[in-house]
Amino acid sequence: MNVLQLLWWSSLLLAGLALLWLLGLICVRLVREGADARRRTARQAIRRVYLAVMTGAGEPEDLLKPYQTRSRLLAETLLELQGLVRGAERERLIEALRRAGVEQQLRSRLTRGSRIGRLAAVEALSAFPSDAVCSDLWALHCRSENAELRVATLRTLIAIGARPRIQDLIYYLQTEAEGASLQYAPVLRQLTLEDPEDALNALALAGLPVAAQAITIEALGASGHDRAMPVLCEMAKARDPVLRMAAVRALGSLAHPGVKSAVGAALSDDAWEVRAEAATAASLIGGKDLIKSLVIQLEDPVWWVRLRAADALTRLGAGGLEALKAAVSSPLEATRRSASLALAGFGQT
Amino acid sequence: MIDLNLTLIAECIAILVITTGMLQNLIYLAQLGLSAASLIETGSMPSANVLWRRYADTLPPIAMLAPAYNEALTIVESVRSLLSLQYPNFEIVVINDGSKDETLAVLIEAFGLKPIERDFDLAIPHAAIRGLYGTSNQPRLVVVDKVNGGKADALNAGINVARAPIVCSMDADSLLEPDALLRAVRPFVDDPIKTVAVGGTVRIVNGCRIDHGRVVEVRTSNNLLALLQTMEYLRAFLMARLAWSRVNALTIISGAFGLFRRADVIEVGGYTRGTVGEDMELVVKLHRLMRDQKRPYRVVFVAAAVCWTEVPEMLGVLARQRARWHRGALETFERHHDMLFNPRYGRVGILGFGYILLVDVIGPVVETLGYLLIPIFFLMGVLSLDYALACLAVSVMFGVVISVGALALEEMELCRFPKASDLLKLTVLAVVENFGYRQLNNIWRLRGIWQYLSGSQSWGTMTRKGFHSARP
Repeated sequence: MNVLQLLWWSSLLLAGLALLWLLGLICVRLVREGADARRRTARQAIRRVYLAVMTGAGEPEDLLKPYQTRSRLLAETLLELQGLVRGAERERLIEALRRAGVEQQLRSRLTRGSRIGRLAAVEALSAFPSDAVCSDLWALHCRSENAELRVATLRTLIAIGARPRIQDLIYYLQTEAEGASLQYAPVLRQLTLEDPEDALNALALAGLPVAAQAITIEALGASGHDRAMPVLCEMAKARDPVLRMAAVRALGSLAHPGVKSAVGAALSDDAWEVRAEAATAASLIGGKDLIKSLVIQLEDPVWWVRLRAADALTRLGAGGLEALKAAVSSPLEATRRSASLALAGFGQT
Repeated sequence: MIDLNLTLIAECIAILVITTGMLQNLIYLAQLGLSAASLIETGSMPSANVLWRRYADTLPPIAMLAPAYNEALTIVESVRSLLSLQYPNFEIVVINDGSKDETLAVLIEAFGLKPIERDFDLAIPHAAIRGLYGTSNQPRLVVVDKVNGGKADALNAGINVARAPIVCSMDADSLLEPDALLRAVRPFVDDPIKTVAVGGTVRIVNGCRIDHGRVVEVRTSNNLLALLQTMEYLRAFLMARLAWSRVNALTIISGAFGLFRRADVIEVGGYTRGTVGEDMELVVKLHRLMRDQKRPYRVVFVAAAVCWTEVPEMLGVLARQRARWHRGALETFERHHDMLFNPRYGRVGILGFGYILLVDVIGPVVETLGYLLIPIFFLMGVLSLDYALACLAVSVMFGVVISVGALALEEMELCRFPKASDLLKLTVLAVVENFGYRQLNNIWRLRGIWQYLSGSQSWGTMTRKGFHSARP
């Protein structure tokens, strides 16, 4: 075969490949459309079965028999209903599903099949609290390398009252990126709110990712736990600005008069993010004795700090407004601008 | 002797053309593989309801920046569409960039806007702001009225006025799918420290049925030019951008839909004014900043986040648009030429800039050389027609395979074309585009090179039909 023939054969081969590929795509499309239609029909049927079970119109074992291998559909349909149904009807449905072996089916789905199906199974298992479910979920959490799946197992564990210890959770925040993932924020927040002591102990551990520490610190503030205040005041002096920022925000949430000095110190922090948080915190704790420091922040080189300081002053009553009015005649244009716009936004010019 | 020299020159030119074409095709093949790997790895995204249930309480606030210049025809519908986005915490900053039509007036009228006082940052430069407008009926909406300064200038004003840590740049005439933000923001949730920018897929709205600022029925256009662009957009977004994103060498995020960390955008001085390729320029500046400061970072493309845009259906308008895009790419290439093959800039310098060099700088010139000289050499009898045709056939068929590959990616991830026959139609177009459209495109790119060399700063005009007049 000479070069010319090779070129023509190559182009023919490519044309054939393109055609085959296209045919394949069309076939897959047709198969998928059929499967989607069947899935939609099955979903509607399962929904009807669930409704029938809730109203006591049939035996769940018989009604669910045709769908017993469709774990993902069972899970997704249950999740849809879970958000809508409460009380006795829900309990009747869950009990019936348990009797029909749906719990077992979902548990076995945790370790096989697509990630989306496993996620649905994890979430749906929140309806079936039991030791076996807890054990399976925790095993999945420890074994899985997918952050989304791990967060979902944690959420379900919390939902069924098998809250893991924060220290255990932290052990599994394996990489820095995962530790920083915002997906963990609501989980850590909830765990901290439910057991602030555990959170305080976890904060004392070495090797906790900075982002996870920051979330825990903020949640401690929101918990209002009395032992949190000294720890948070200490954290407001941490080396990492992310931690200082979180601590100052938490101090604002605590809104305890005892944190004024820590917040006052944070108003002159090196990091502008911390200064901005401190301004907001000052307004939350009603620190009228911080007005002077806030007025100084109106001269901050960073706009966001000036904005937060001006906003804080508008929230600190007559004293704050007087300070803003005085700042309107400042020689610094940025200060004048922040003060006058804050007053204008507050309805005063 | 002269004949021998001529033959040698002809062969050299033929080899140059073929080598460049082969290199481009190999890159496309690699992109196809990388994109497929990326889609297999991430898997399909769950529905918007599921995303909301899982992530609503972790999602960071976003400021949508919609610069508008003479958009009176579409602006109200676009803003209504934005206001109905599924996202828990966002604000919309519409920037009226000194429109000469009734853009501001129709906004004031439609939303009952009133002048407001609002403190804003002066971190990055832009033309003077004449006023801010808002309304208590729509607290998410802020309209900035400013002196005309171009899209980059308007976006800079929007970034200054925005208060969210993430800004989303878009075109005022584009339509985001309701769950686009929920999907696009995922990298900022998964890796908030490293993620600096995220781009989404831009798809063609021509021919689709629009209702109240939403695409309610996807159809392929009846207009040949729009159809040809549909195939191009599929290759550009689902193949090229996804592939470069996987290796963190993505150098462009479309101005029609991109999310950026506000602090980083401010750190690089915002959008560069006076360039027509401000979207690419910003992404390259971000790469440069992160690499210079040795900060770990990611520039990500999320295929499942979709924005719809109207494309030109007239040759003249398309020609101006393409020339402008090409000029923009060349301007960025020139400004950051030191990044090319510079190990300091890693994959961005080698892959990203190498690709620009091959496809945008060398590509059009070599292709033109081929179109002009190979027929001449053939007529002079120094090149074989048989070989030329065979090479052309291989090149065309390779392109068709790549296009079908892009369709396969579309079927894997988005599956937006409602009918299987659309796939067939688009494959036929992948063949047709090689005979006329490709050559036209090359001429437009040459025009872009000429404009770049002559220092033209013109944007040209985009004639729009308006969404409500898209095919009913």
